[in-house]
Amino acid sequence: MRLLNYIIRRLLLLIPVLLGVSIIVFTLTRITGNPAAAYINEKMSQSQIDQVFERYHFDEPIWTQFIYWLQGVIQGDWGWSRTASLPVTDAILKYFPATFELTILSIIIAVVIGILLGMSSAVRRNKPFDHVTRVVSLIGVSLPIFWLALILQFVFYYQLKWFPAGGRYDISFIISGVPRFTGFLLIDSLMVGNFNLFFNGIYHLILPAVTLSFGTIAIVTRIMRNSMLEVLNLDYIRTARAKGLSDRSVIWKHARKNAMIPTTTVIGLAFGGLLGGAVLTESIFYWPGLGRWSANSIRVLDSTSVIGFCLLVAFIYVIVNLAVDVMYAYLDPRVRLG
Amino acid sequence: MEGSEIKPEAAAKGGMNIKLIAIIVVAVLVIAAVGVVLLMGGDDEPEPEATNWLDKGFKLELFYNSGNDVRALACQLMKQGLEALNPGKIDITTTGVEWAQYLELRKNGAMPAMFLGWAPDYADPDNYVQPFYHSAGTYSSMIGYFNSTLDDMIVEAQGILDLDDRAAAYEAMEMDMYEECVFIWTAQATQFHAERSWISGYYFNPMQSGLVYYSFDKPDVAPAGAPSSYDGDTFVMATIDGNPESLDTAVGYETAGGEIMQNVYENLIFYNGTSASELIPVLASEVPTVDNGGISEDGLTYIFHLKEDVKFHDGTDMTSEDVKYSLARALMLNDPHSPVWMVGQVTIPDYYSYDQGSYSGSENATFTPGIPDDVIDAAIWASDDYTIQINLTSAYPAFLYVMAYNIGGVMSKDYVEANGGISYDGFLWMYNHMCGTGPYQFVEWESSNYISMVRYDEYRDGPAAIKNVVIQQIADAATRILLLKAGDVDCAAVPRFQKADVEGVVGINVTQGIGTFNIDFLGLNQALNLTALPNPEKTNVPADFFADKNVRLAFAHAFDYAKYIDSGLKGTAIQPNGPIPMGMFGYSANIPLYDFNMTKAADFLKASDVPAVDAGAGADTVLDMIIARIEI
Repeated sequence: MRLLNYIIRRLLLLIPVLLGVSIIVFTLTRITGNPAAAYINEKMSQSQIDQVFERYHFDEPIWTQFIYWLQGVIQGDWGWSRTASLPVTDAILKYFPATFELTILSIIIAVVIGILLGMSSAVRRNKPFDHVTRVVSLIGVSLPIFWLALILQFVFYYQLKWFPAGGRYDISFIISGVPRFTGFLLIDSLMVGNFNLFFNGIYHLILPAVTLSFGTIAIVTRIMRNSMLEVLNLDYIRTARAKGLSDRSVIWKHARKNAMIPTTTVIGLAFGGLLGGAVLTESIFYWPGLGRWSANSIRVLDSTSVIGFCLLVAFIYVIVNLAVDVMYAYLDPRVRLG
Repeated sequence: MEGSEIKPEAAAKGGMNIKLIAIIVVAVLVIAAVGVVLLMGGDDEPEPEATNWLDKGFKLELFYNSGNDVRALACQLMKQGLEALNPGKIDITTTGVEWAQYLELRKNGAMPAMFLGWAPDYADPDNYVQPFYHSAGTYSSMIGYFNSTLDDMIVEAQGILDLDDRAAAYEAMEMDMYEECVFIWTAQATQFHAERSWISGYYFNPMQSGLVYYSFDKPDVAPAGAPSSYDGDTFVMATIDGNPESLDTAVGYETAGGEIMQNVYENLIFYNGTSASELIPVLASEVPTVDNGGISEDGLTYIFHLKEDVKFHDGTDMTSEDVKYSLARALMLNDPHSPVWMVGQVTIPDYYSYDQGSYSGSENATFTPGIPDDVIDAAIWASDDYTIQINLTSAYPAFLYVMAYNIGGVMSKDYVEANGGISYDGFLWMYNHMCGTGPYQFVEWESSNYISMVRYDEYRDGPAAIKNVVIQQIADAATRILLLKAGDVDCAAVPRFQKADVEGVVGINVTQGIGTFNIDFLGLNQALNLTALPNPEKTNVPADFFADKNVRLAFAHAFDYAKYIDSGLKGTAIQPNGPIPMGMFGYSANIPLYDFNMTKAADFLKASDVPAVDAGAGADTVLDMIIARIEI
């Protein structure tokens, strides 16, 4: 019950957070450039340009513009995304599932590999395995992601032909029709029992997910290794060993859970970050996700899209942080929420 | 306490003494310095004030929209050419500005010179000449160019019905423009197209938006070198990132949406194959001419007879009511972003006095049309089921080309009415739904992902050879090239600077070199708003610097056209001889080109006049200023 109260209170905090974010982002989009630019092309005459200003209230004071925008948002009208050629809410519903599926898979890859590598590396401290892992994870952090994406695409698509170049599914599924209920391909394909599409979706996810997971693997490995090392030196581990528990039990049962606490924070942050979309990965693997939409919106100063996107990201971060806090309570019984 | 107080008068007196001493010391120092300078150069006569811009030199800022590397290079070449004329004295800065700022500067007339590009809406020289040279034109007013003689010539040429006379009028005008040198036309882009060699049927027409899929074919069975995913029934086009604005002919005004409209909707008349001047009937049974009675002698009335038995994709018959409805709907909406002005300005009296239709927001309940029904009815009406008549406000032979643009696409009235009609809901529906008569039917538009079409089997000239078309957005050019090389796409948009990646590759056909109608130019502002300069320290010319024709000509000859085309555009352009591009009606090869010639550039700049500075308003010397201060 206390936990539920805590969650409700944290969710209520979303309202001032989102309002604050919208004021800041709204002001910034108005300061950094003229929002009318997204509506004007090289061919328009001055009188046509003036009409645009009038229609979208760009000639009015910034706070009046904000009130217009806020009124719309309250009525469910977040404005029109010129970049997506869709209402902003529809654009989010369209792009979020693609990014979410990619994020989930890449986080799964990153967490599984990162935790295993981190733990193994800590247990084999200063052994060759540890050194190799540390070097590899250092490379992982410093590798430019677009370069990695291009290399993976070139090798695994173009040379070896093991994976597709990109997209969410094969062209043949475009012809036969893709089900759209939730926008989540893996869910929608299962809902209609189209297993070919389901597996094709996973097949298409692998290269971009691996690319995205690379940086996270490196961070998770390093954090996991460090926290494992710390935990392994604690008294209770020594006690566990002293009472004759097997190495396996000590490491997997006793040490791992405690070492997961700082790692959870990092995973949570990485998850939130990835959900905001990965511009370069999405561009190279032509993934119709949030990253490309937001980057294109920023490029043409499509202010309604930028604000909508920022609100979404703020929302995601609050939710992810809440989830991390709840995870803490699970991992460490001493942590009491509420 | 009292003793330590300083009396105000004494303080003032003391302060004055110090001020006086300081002024005297400064004055003595300055006089001494001036004396030294005079003594050092004692024998020389004081250098006379330069009377031309070559000797005097100047500072000028050139603008381009940032992110456009080719235009950045153009600015750089202009800078190199000009600075070499008088090194040290001519100082050019090139500045890239974001689109939003660019618009603001443009509005304020605050850019001395700017690189821009122009693509036509319809293939008529008036679409180039009017915006740039008529006093009311978008660009001529932007740079403060007004020439009443040219205005008269432009208006006259707009209405000449005889083609030879009209072509001669444009040639005469272009010769004037060459001599006037108001804009410097730097490059006319040529087309570059890369496709798999198993594709046949490609042709290029500069007036088309993207590809016409009806002309394409590919083998049913996978040819050698094709991947296992080869599908003879599907054409896959890898295109650049970016969504169409709309698939509604009344709204769409860009090529991504234009390509879809061009394959799904049909116009009354359209360009004949590769020709950008010859029109053929499509939904009309013939192209109206004066001879066949389709155009009245005075050029004011156009009558289109329609083909019968043409069916829309929803199975309904196409009649003159649909044609009327499509045009009227666009005029009622009267969206300022849309190309409707092309139709409106020649059919509706005082067109520009009308506002847009108020259809947006919550006002949908009471839609107020931009152009009222009765005004539209006076201009466009269906005289019988298969005849449509359009009245122009003045003779305008280019109107036929207007009708060949997307705005002239005919949509099914029944379909639109069944889906909201002329209301907010109806407009919202039609932006991503289509019902035309073309060889392809629209299937799906997945934002930022793909657009798909399927052939219309009942198409009156026989169904298209390829059943499915998928136009997939692939943001990264390197990915598009890989897909093309692997054969997973049939055609890909390859950027000019990466064309070497596909040239000479086995299995890829490249077509290039045909002129598009896209032209780059440098605008020279003759009425510079000096008070709004974004960087006043980088420009020191007077507001009417470019009003001096010699200055403009000097700029035109100081630009290395060949280098720009070879390095910046990788050879995929030609140097235009004026605003009317090669390949368009009205183009004349008799108009000379400005050559890159530094001697000529220097001569023209030498012949320019530096306006005499009014002695009273002239800059004061330091000594004058000090004396003035002392007197105060």
